[in-house]
Amino acid sequence: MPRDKGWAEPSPAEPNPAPVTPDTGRSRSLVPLIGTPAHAEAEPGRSLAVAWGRLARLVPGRGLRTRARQDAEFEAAAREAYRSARRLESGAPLVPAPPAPRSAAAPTPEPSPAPVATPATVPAPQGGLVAKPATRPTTPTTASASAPTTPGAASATALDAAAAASSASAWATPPRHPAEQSATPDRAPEAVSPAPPRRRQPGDTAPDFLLRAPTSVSPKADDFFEGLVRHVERDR
Amino acid sequence: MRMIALSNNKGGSGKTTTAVNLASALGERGLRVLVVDLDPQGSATMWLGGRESSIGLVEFSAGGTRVSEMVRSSTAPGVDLIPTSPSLVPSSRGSENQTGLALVRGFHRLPDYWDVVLVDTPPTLGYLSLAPLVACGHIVIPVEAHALAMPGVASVIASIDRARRNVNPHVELLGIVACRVNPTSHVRDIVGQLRARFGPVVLEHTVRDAIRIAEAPALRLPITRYAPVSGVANDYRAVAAELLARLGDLSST
Repeated sequence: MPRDKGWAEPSPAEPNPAPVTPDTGRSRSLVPLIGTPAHAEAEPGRSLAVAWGRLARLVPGRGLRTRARQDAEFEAAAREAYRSARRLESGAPLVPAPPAPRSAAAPTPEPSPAPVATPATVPAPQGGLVAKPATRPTTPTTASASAPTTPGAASATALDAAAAASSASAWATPPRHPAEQSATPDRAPEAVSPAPPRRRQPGDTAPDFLLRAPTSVSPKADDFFEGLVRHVERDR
Repeated sequence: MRMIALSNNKGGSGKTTTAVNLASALGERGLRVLVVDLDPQGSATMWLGGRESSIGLVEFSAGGTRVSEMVRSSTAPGVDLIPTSPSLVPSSRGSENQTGLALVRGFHRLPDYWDVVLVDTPPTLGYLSLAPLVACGHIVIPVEAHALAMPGVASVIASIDRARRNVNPHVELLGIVACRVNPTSHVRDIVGQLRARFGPVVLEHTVRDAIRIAEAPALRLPITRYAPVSGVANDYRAVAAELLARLGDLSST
């Protein structure tokens, strides 16, 4: 192989040889260091990207910031899930989670109370009763109550107000983190959730209701047996 | 001849499965066995290779019909079959008691040819499940190892009690067979509760849950022929041996 030109001429046997440095004779290409991907010949740009990606893994400290951010997001999502589970256990109504930035680690958020297109916000059809335009965001719950003005519009408006009040109060008292609860023992304790049913243990006796025959059994059997006796006596 | 009714008012408890495979296991031992299918669905009839017949116990009880016209051979060695028949379901509701009485008379007219007669009953509380309590001397309750199966056992025991008081003082509960038993702690718990509640009448041997049992009816073969060396076939053999031991001398009636 001629070395004076600095770069090797492609030979028929090697259609795509790696460049070689003139001083050391070592390959200048990164690909031989980490292996040639199967698609290297078809997509040279992609092979370079793959090579850089693999090299980047060798750089110490790479990805630490990303990892820390993902850990924080995961922690927040886990806390929210824990709070939801606590609320479910205590039988409290579920409160819509405050909007949080989505991330891959975060769970799917609950339906947000953002304005939705409802009959209250959509212009009324011509010739129909004119609905009072909504001046604030309506949740799906309130929308159904404040929808088209009808003879029951007054009660619907009252329902709307009540729903809005309950929604506002729910937002005003976000669920507390368990750590906060333990840190503030002077506060009144929340309603104690009912204890989960104890699992049956081997040796437990069967509950009584499982050992009782249905009350219809005895009368039905008696009817049949007495009917048989009557038939036999009649035949005699 | 010992007449044994397999009874449980709960569906899916294993009555038909136990009737067919217990009969086959008894037949393997050289006994002459007759299976009477009182379930209008005819599952035992189909499983044993028979088909619905126009001549059943109801017609037989009226006389004029020979046993050979009613009894069919089956795919299980040593096992004969009285298939289900349309006459088990009377056309008018008021004649149910008459049909029940005809069944009892039909049972009593059976010749003393077979060693064991096994009666498969439907999963309903009615004349088809109560008539065998009048005609048979022994009752076996197959029970699925499930919590909701326990009221079915209590129901049959209540019916036996009523039958004994009213019409058949000799009827007795021969055994409770736990079926479809799998190796979970829950099922062990259920079987333990059965033993705790009903005592030694619960058989020592249980029948395991096995896919072979589900496959066998499609080939119309009992498990002792379809999978003769399987664990569940051996379960039925063990149950048959235990029930025979409880029956004692078969020659005495």
